[in-house]
Order: sequence, then structure tokens, then C-alpha cells
Amino acid sequence: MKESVYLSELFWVCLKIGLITFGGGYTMIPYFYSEILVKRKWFEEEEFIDILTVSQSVPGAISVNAAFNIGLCKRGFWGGLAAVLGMVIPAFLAIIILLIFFLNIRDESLIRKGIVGIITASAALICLSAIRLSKKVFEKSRIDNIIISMVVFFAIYLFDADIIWLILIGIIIGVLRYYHMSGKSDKENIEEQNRADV
Amino acid sequence: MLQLVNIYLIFFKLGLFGFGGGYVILPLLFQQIEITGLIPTAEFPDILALSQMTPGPIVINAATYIGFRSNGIIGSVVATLGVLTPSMVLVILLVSIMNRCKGSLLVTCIIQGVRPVTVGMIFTAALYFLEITVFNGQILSSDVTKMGTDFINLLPAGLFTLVLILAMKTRINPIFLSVGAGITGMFFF
Repeated sequence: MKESVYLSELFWVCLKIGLITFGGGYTMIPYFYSEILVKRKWFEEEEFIDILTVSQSVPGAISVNAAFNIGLCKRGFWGGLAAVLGMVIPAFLAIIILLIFFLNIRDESLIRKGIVGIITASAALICLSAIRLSKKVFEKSRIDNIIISMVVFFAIYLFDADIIWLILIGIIIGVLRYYHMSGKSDKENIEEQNRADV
Repeated sequence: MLQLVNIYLIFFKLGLFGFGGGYVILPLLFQQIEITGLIPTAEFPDILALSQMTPGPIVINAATYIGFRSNGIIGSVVATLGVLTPSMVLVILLVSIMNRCKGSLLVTCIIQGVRPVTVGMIFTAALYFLEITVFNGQILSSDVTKMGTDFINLLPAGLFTLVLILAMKTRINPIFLSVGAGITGMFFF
């Protein structure tokens, strides 16, 4: 559904979202929801869910994927590019500006202590994401998934295994499961997988 | 010039294999930096801390940081473009096959196959930073019998627990938790 949305509007909406959200990822979804769906009514609820599904399926920053997909749906490639620029510019400039100051003071003991404090909070936030993610992946006591996660964890932690290979193995497992599922009808399978996704 | 191509390729790889975004990508990013020696590994805590304190996606923050430290502003631009390229190409590809049932099911299966891998990855990220702040050294490969009170730093352990509980039970914006923890660190650590 392509309606006349200005490239500049795509840019500004994403700039706004990119400017007010910290941490990225799933924290941005509510902002997208209120700006794109509630305020501007650019999509139907169902289309929006499709956009989120694609954004989470594709590797890379989820909010960037979502911005690109929204722009793509509205104004094609250039729309996507305008939206991505809006999303990326605040993140980019903020780091550059902060770094210019930070590099002069980063060895001060007060700053080091502050960094340790922030890292401690980050560790907690990462743990929370890890717990939420594993709840999703391990639901219905998926023994196979639990084993894969543990193997990956120890392979990285103890043996410094190449993570790209581990991801490739995950992709291969997914492809094998796809061929294994050929017994059921496609529609049935998709519905089942989508339910597991939400 | 060669260095810039190198940066682009590192971040292209990150964008191509970084399923799950955000924190999940950190172990992959750190490993790539370790292998290539782009910037010193001692800066990993600073990368996370600054990414946490600035708006926008963590992946973009980190790419900008590392690019800048390696090659200045040009490095930042190249790193950011590198991480964006695969995402954009793959979104276009995926949108075009979403309408066909078969392709869509295959994609869903791949995502489901990669997910448990990302769970393992994100736990190593959590442990990596815990070992820097809350624990002194490695948890799993240390001698368990020697783990006395000096193995755990009590103040960071308390702060960690507090932030975890606040993030779980309340709707406080994570930025305030980070700022609060930073100030706490400055005055009490």
C-alpha cells in the first residue's frame, strides 16, 4: 500500500524515534506503534505486525530494519533510505560528540568508576534480556533448544569458538527442520510457527 | 584505504550474521574486534557504556565508536554503512518472498534454528561484563575452592541486583537506570 507520504516525513518520524529511545531493539517497538500506527495510521494493525516480523527475522539492528521496512512499504527504496538515515543520525552524532569529550577524560578515576557503574547496570539489563529471550526459546521445555544454547554458551565461553560458524550451524539446523516438516501442509506449519513466535 | 575496506567488511559480517540485534550482537562484535585487532580489547567496557548512554540502536552506536577510534569520522561512516548494507538487502529480499508461503516457512525455520544460538551468545555477553564488575576474574574456569569473599565485589553485586529488580518489576526507562548506576559508581565504587 503506497500512499503519498513525504520522504521528509519518513525521515523526521524516524529521527524522532531514534532520538528518544535508548538501548535500542525491542524498546523501540512501542514508539513505532504510537507514531506510525496510532498517530499517522500509515498501516493496518496486521501490516504492522508483518513489518515487525520481518524486522526481527533479518539480522542487524531491529529498529533499523523496522525503519527501512516502513519506508520501503511507503515510498520504495528511497523511502527506506530516508527512514534509516533518520534512525541512524542521532545514534551516530551522539557517539561522535560524546567521544570527543570522553577521550580526554576517560582515564580519570572518577570516570573509570562511573563506567564500572554503567557496565554493572548494563550487565543487569543484558541478563534480563537473556532471561526473556530464553523464556521464549525454551517454552514447552524444548530440550533440543536448551542443549543447543548450552553448547553454544560453553563453546564461546570456554573455547572461544568462532561465533559465525555457530550461527551457520543454527541456520543449517533450521533448514533441516524445514525439510523434516514436509509431512504437514505449509499453511498448518506457518500458523504453528507464527504462534510460537508471538 | 585498505584499513577502511577492512572496517567495512568486519561490520558487513556483523550485519549479516547479527541475528537478534542489540546485546546479542555484542559477543560477535567483540570476537571480530579481537581477531582483527581493530581497536584494543580494553575498550570494550567503554563501547558498551557509551552505547548505553546515547540514543539509538546499540549496534549503530558501537559501529560509530569503533570506526571513529580506528579511522576517525570516515571510519565511523564506513563502519555504519557496513552494518546497514546486509540489513537493507535482506529486508528487501525477505519482503519479496514473504508473500510466497514456501519461502516464508523456510525463513521462519531458519530463524527458529538460530534463536537458541543467540540465547547462548547473549549469556556470554552478560557473563563477560559481570566478570569485569561483580566478580574478580573468570567464574567458570576459576578454582571454586578459592572463591572467598574477595572473589565477589560486594558493592557492584548489590547495584547489579538492584538494577535487575528495578528493570524487572518497574517500567523505569533503562537510560535512568544507566545514569543512576553511573553516578552510584562514581561516588561509591
